[in-house]
Amino acid sequence: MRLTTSFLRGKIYTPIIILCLLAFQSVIAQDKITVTGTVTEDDGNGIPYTTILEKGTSNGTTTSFDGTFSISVSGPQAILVFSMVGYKTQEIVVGSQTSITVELLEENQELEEVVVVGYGTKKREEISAAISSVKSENFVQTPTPDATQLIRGKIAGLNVVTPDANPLATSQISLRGVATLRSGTNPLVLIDGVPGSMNTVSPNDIAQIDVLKDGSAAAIYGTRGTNGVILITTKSGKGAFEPSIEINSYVSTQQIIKKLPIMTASQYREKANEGHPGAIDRGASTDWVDEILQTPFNQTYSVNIKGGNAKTNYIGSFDYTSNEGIVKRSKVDVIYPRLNVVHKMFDDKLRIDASLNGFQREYGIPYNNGVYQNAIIYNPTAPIRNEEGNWTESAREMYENPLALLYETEGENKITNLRMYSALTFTPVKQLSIKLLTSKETTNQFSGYYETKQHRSTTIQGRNGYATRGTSRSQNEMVELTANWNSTIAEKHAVEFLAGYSWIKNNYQSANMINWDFPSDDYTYNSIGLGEALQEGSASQSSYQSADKLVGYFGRLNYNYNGKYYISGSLRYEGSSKFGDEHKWGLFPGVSVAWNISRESFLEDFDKLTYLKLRGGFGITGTVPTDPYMSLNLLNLGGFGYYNGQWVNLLRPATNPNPDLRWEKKEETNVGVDFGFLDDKITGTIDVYRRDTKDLIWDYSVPTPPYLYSTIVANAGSLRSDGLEVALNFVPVSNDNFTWSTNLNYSTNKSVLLSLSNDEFISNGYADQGNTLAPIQQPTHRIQEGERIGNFYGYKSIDIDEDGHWIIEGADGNPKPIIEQSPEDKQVIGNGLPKWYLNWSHSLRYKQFDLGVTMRGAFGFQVLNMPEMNYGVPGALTDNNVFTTAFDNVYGKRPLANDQGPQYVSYFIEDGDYWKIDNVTLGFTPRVESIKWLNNLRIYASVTNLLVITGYDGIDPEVNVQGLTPGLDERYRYPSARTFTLGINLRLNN
Amino acid sequence: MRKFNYKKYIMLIAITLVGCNNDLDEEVFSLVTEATYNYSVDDFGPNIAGAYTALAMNDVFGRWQTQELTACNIALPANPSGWDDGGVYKQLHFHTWNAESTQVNQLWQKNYSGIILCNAAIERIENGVIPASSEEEKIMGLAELRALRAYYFWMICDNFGDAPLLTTTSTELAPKNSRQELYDFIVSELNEVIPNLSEVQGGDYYSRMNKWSAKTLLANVYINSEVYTGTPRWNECIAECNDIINSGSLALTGDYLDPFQVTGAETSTEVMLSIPYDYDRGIVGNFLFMNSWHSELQKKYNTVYPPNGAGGPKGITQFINTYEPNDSRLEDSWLIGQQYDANGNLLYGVYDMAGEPLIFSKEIPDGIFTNEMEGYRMGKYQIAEGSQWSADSDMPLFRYAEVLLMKAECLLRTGQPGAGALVTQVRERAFANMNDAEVTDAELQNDSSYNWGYVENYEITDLGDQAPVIFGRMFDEWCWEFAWEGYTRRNMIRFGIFTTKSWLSHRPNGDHRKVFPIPQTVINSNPKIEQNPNY
Repeated sequence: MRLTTSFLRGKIYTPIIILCLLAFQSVIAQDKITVTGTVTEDDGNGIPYTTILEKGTSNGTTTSFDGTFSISVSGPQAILVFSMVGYKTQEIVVGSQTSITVELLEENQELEEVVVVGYGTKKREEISAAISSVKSENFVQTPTPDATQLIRGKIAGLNVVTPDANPLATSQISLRGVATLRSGTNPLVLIDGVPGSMNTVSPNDIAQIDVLKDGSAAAIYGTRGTNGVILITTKSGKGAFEPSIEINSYVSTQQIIKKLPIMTASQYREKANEGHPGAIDRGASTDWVDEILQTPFNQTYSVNIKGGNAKTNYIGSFDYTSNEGIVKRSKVDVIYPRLNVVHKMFDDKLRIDASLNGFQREYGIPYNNGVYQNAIIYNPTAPIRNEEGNWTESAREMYENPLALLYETEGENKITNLRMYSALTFTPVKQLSIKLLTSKETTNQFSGYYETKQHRSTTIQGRNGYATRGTSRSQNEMVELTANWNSTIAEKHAVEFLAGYSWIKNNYQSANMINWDFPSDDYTYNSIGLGEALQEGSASQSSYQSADKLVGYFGRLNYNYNGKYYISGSLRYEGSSKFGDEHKWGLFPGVSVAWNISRESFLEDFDKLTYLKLRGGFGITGTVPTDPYMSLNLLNLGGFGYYNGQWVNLLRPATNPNPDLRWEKKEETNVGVDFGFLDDKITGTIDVYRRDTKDLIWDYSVPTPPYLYSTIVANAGSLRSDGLEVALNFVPVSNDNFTWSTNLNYSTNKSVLLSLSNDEFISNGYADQGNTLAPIQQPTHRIQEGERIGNFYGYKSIDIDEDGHWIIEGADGNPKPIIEQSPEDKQVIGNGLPKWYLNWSHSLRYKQFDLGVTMRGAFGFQVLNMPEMNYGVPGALTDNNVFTTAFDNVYGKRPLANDQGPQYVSYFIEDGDYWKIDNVTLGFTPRVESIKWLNNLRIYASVTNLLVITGYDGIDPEVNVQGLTPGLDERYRYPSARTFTLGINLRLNN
Repeated sequence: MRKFNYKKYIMLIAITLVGCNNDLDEEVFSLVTEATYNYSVDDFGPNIAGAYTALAMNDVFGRWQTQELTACNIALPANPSGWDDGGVYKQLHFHTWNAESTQVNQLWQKNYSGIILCNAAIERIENGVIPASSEEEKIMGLAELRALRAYYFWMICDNFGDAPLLTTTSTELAPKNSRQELYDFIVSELNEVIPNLSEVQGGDYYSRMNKWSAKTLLANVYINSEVYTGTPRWNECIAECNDIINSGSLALTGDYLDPFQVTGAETSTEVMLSIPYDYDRGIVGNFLFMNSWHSELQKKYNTVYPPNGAGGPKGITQFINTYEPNDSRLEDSWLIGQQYDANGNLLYGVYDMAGEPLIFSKEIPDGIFTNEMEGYRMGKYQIAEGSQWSADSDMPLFRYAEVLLMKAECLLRTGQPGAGALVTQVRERAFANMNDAEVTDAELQNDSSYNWGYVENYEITDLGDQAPVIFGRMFDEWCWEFAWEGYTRRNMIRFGIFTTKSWLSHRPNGDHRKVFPIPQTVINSNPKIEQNPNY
């Protein structure tokens, strides 16, 4: 209930107003002038039920559903007062006008803004924790496959990275650095209170996104709050309105932002003619990268209908998006249907909120990592097909004809998601509301995949057609009961109390089958039993099921005195099935205080300061491990042993069981200040925090003996993350014709691993992470006690010898040739986690034109240029291609030797600092008053990933920064793209 | 204000809370837990079979690489397709490994895993958790597990020296026992259980600890007794070998390569304890061919995956040169010369010699970097047509030829006659001409024919220790017969040359390298364990 009242903006009072106005109808003045007109919001939407009074009289009326009105006034001298709850009251002298369009401004936008907090909403002014909120009108106006990019650059400390342009990929979010090692850095995403992900709902259906950044705010979500909480509020029926149709449609195309400097066929041929070892002229000229890329045509159509009255209203939407991607055959189609009904009964004491939504995502084969990688390295003198018309193919591993990979595979993937949601809110008395929320989400995926007899699985491996078929189903059920008491005592003491219970059950099941050796390609994956491999006993089948449960009790008490002093305390007691028998339950408290200094009398005379609030908070949150069953003493009956001349199922322990597995807890302290100056032309927020994660869940090394396996999932170790966030909003110009607002935010974070041991588990104090993969076969990162997370760990190249081989720094600090490399020479050679981020966005409006510009950058980090490391050295030139830069001088001295193969040395760790003009959107809103059925029209054009300013040599320094191996520019990553979009928004009324 | 009716709401809340089940016990579907599993007599075999799984675990890295790449027959230099892997293989060749070396860690890990699995399996039988169908089955089962545990302890004793002697499933951290104590334990365990072991060779007991495997193990422990305890026990070794030989249960197979075929090993008269690799059954790890070959050789047997780049492990030229002219074991153990695909078409290079016929040549410049074609490759274990990344040919851990050579060596060392005849018996199947096969007791006393010395750019540039190897010809016989089988390090130590000679890019780097360091993880997490000397 509380969640939705925020959108009513007081419209709940309209029935009362109507009644009042009816009473005034009998009063009729003399010398009447009839004035007609429309009352609109700033976006041109009509505002129904706006009260219009002739000043000093009792003459008045109210606007109709579409915001239009007609009133007879006493004469030209009459002053009309337009008032509506939630909007600034406006007075207009009638004069000679008979038609008036009035645009009402929302009241004190910044401070009256409604913020969604855990299990409720609050006014921005009442918030005592670090919470950032972005409403739909402030979203980055960009076409986006998921909700993440809507708020990219808008929230200090929340960093969104889109490492590639794969239409299947979702952006990565990280909030305030690294707080857990084993469970990833993804924040908890709740859509209308129900867990989901950033692509669970269409971006077009989202009304508001709120981010609970600090521990005191997230503690109400206890066990899942460590990485922060993102609350997505979808558009919902509010108040009474005329049926309307809103259409939002855009088309876009993309191009690769930069091509790597691979040799052309003629450059390669030259090397072959020079007799470069390994270079072999195969006679043709093929631009493999061009062959795999396409200019996509991406399209999105979103239709939204809504209507209703004060008691029942609905919103329905249907959204279709098709993204082709810049690599051929990587198209993804998604539809998002949604239906939401709000029904109020018994004098509005009972409110029923029900919705059905979901998505259907369809694609062929998921992007094969090898396609782009092989397009870079495949011999440019090799023909696409040989004389017999077959794909040219080599037996070498990681060297495959990219076009054969593209075209000799068939597949389909269909993912269907259905979310059923209902919320019953009962408000027996004004102060109390009780809400029962139930939801059930199921996701089904069905996949099929086939490699034809022209695919290398047959031409090289002799599989004779290879098929897989798989299905999975995940189901998440949730019941949540909350009661909220809200009252103000003696006018100055505002008290709010929340108590709740939450029950979540997840279930996952899957089945997969593989078979090969088919009589014909015609069956593809659709008659999998026909493969011979099944009869031969080499085909495999598998099925799996798992379940887990999370049950929590929680409460929160908020108190504020006279709008000056705020205190909020919350407690969650939660249990997860994933822990040991004696350790399932954990207690997660949070407390925050705030002092609104600007309400103090001693600041009343200080005009320039409009708002000043100090905040402080502390909270403990937890992390539920990803995997269930880790505390159990599992037996492995799966493997085989040869016994008594036959294969028997084995019996042995499956893991080192840890019955003491318990909650990992993060303690976070946050201190912040919110301020506004010069009539809120300048507003801002500053937060400093420290996050300490204790009892880190990790795969700790344990000695064998006595343990059977070398690692155990246990709680030990700790992690600390410190940071600062500054967000500033300016409105330098704001008048009828021109407004310019700008948002600047800065965040910095440092995450350090304090310890990887405790009394029970004493580890080496480090763990190697990541892998360069063949041919180098080296871990890329090391997490180490006392060191920042994200350190690259490898050989430090310092020079090149006269023959053109690397010289590295040995463990003793002296130079040594690369051939004498030994693991103890490795050292920290960079860090892949940006030290700080800066985002700067602008929003300008001049008459009917609007312009949005988002810029963002990340600084103080390094990227391992893996394409360069693997293909930027002459020793990598063989039958495959390398970069033209492979023959450039190294350390300003001479090129590398022809036999200098790929090595993981610091030379390939480059500074990744970048500044991106990320999004520029130009919109035009023509006047459409003359068209009766058209309420609003906006057309826009947008460019995403417009410009990257960086010293980095690879395609894009914006690479994966999640997990424990940040900063890897992988060889096989789907290349980044620049996107050009044309779009239209229109709203139709009858 | 109307009276607030609490009861209704309490009811509503109560219904919700009751409707949801707060029980947080884990619901298990695709897994079995110790707590819920009902053991029956049917689990008796699987309980024992489970203890063998450590044999296949990381065997190429943990056992094979530590025994062969540290020694004088096989090296793993980098090449244009990679294989530097941060220097982890060269560390073994240079004798610069340390307590953090992966292979050393895996060698420790796999054998102690085996010990722990045996301890757990023994306890399950002893305390009646798993019932046996008869008292005899119980006695034989326990004997088999204890013999297998002795094998794992032997690997620990041989490779690490002092180490914890752990015989229960207690998770208490244990200190090291002396190498002598390990030795004594292994000997007494084996002597105690051998009478209860099956005498059946192959068939039901294929790849398992039968009486003959256990006696071969005991013979191995005795022949290396001087290394382990300072006291030689040559005659004790001869006695165990004699028991095996006289039993008549074992015989050399007709073809030298029979034990390494994909099929037939189960009924072999030669193979005793072995790792029964079978990809489809999940017993994987025989990927020496993947490591050693060249990616183009995928076309030879149409394997599912191409071998790893231009191949890693290859013969050290100095060793290849020791082979006698007509010894068929050279071509049986190594992949040599021009390579062909399954249809007999020439294969070609694809790396630094792209387009040139793929010919594996004998000479390698050093142990650091070779071109894509240099060096002979693994040719011993059979690769079936269409193999996965792990071959289905089994890896024998003990075979009868070893019994004959052990006895020969001990006769030689104790000045007794007969060594030549035993070695000749082993050699007979390798030579077409009986005269070539014959070797005398006197010849076995000769120095090794290995040209020791440090190699740079194909040439020996530093001779290093040139002292004759005592019974060096016997050492050569071991190397020829057991090439690629993981015996070389142990033999070199016993012949006293592991830490004294130079070969390829290897120079001696300390006598302490006769044992490996205790893995750092173990040192760090078990304060009761001290590192081995000089590490």
